[in-house]
Amino acid sequence: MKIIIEEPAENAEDEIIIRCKELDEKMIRLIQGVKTNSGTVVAHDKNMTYMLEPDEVFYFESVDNHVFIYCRDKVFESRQKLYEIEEFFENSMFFRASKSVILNVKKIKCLSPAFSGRFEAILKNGEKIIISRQYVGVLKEKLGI
Amino acid sequence: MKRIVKKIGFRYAIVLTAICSILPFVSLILNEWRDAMGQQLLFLSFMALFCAAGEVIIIESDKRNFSKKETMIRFLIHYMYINIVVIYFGIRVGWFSLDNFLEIIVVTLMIAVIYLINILVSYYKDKNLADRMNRILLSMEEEKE
Repeated sequence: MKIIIEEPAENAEDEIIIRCKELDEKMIRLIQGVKTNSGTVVAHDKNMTYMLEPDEVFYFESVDNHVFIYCRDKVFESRQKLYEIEEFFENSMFFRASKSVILNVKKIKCLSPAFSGRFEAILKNGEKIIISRQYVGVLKEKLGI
Repeated sequence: MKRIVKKIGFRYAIVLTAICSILPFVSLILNEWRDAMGQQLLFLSFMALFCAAGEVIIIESDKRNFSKKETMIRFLIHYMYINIVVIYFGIRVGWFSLDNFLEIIVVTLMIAVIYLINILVSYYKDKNLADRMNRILLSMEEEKE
């Protein structure tokens, strides 16, 4: 693969152009790597690849070894593992809410106690997510309690 | 594992304390106040240990979280387990016999009361925490606007 670095024109934005015959797995990983460092989330829907801003994401959920990205009213798939997403968003407002969910604190409308030390988070899109007892401490930390 | 041992230890202390607190009333009801207390307390500590071990029924594993329905079922099983342990040890110590149905009902009700108090205290604690977190979420939202 050839890598060409060019100096942009004055006042022009830095950009990365990928010129490839097909968007294969290797190329997607490369894009993910670049995008991960710039804080964007690479999402897939059918054959399309989207770049999402973290603020658009409500939560990530792992179902049967597939990680899904839930936005306000759309669901995408991620090629990353849940633990990789957790590591990447470690110092952000995302936190592990249960074994299978990473939740965006900014998308929580309100919280209420659920049974057995757990909490139920009602999101801004009306969805309800359970926060497990063992992860309540992480949420408290994110909220500065 | 450490967490489970810690939980069992904590629950052991709570159950033992609760039973020791109720013991005089039980003894008064069953009119066996003057029997060998030392032996009874030894049995009591064993009973509390068995009750505490029942925590394994309701503690979430490290691999997955329980659903709301599963949690409720597990709590019900746990409640029945505690009843069996208490009734078994009660019969062994001679507090009551299976022939006297009223005694069994009294014990079952007492366990239900302890359960209820435990649930209410936890709920009240969690409700306070939820209110606190909701206030922070609200202030975050206001700052954003």
